[in-house]
Amino acid sequence: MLVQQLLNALTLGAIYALIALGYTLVYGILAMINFAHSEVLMLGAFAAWALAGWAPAALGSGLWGAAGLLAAGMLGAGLVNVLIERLAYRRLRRAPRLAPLISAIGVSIVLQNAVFLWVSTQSLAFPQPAGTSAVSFLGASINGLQLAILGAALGLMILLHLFIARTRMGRAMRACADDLEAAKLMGVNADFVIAVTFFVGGALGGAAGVLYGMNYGSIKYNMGFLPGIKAFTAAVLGGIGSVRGAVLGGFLLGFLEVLAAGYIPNGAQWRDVVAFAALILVLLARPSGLLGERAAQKV
Amino acid sequence: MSAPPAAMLELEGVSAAYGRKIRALKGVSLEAREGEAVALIGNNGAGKTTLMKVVSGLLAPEAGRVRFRGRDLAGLAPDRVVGLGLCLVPEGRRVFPRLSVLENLQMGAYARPRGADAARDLDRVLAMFPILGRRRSQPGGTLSGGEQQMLALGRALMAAPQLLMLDEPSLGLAPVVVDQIFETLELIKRGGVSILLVEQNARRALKFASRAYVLETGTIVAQGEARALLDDPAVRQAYLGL
Repeated sequence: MLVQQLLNALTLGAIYALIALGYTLVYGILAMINFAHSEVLMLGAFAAWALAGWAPAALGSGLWGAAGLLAAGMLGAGLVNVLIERLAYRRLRRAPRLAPLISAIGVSIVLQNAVFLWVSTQSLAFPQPAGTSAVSFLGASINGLQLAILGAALGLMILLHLFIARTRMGRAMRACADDLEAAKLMGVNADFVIAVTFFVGGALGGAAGVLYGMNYGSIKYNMGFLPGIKAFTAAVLGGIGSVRGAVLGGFLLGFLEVLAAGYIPNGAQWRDVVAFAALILVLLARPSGLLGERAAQKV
Repeated sequence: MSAPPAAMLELEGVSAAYGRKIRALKGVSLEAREGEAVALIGNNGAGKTTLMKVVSGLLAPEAGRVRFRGRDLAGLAPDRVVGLGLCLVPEGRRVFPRLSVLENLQMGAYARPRGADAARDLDRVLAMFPILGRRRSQPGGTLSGGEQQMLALGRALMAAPQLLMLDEPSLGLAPVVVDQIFETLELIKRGGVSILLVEQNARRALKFASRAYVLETGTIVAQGEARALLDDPAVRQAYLGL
């Protein structure tokens, strides 16, 4: 029971962390909140769902098929995010800060309604990989699907870390986050780096959407809203703009919710209250988040 | 006598504005020749930084031409300009605070073809500024002002520029550090790199450069041999406080 609770928290936390990374990467470079990110993760799940409907035989029902769905969701969501940046944000880069914010909310509503009107108003069944229902682990029988989801999410986080820390493009992204104009002066094509950032952030969101769909076995046009807003919370909790902060915030939020649901009487109804109350308390004590840098550090 | 060195950077009647209202440059013409050190002096708000921004591609001019080795720079984004061999050390140094010293230097070589001679240039920069080698894995933001200026200079050298532009490299630094910076600039100049230096410290700049321009509210009001300007009564009164 305890092991299973722990796994619940880790799985939920890992999904939040993946989504939170998308917010924080974009914020790190442009200092804007991509409020359409909820819909990007939803569209990632729908892209994978479309592929599953189109080529069910080729994919199979095992873990390799699930990996294919994950890749499709990441690619789809990454491209959507790049397109959103190009069409709805780029021209507003020097506009007052409210303009891109409102543009993002507009994109979010348009995308959600597009899926509502043209795809489905109802929940759709999302394929779950077979043969992973129960696994014996540390003497306890636990949910193997969750274990696979957790493994995939952690693997993606490690890949992201290596990309940011070790590659030339990752270094350019960090340079742009530090000082966009100085990076341009060094020969960095800032528009391209920003597009790559939106792709990577969107792909992580798409992965989260697919994993979320697998976890619950269904997807819906408005599935992005709640995890999106919670992951945004997680990113702020950890310190928006900080990659480690997003991961920490995601897992912290996952644990808080699962603990609340498991140990408070009637907890399932209280989990969101507990999570957001924790956010308020942390921010009152540390306004820039747990790992956030104090504001006004820029020269 | 050999033929006069070719013009490297030429500005012809350049006008530029900040925002929509403030006209910061009004028809500025100047040139820097190959291997030459040129100083641009003037008071705060004279338009010096604006001129640097126009040349480096950060700001599009309203009128006039900027040519680098005969090539018109109109419409080129800053990341393309640096690839042509023209690198700006911006005002306020602008090192990347969260990147390590080594990563800052690597970013300097970003515009160059991969591999190239970047490794050799890194050794050269570290030999020029030993302190940077000792602090190589420290975040750039933790360096002192003088060290940051050396890092900014080293980073620009990693681009292997043919023309190095410096915007107020001595600003806010202790005199002994300023000495060190100018000694290094002397070395760079002797290495054959052309230099366009913007300074408020006019005496320093005029002693370093061979030619100079005086910019006043967006217009060139005097130009000539740096030594001659150093002796010019009007310049002495306005910029040297004599």
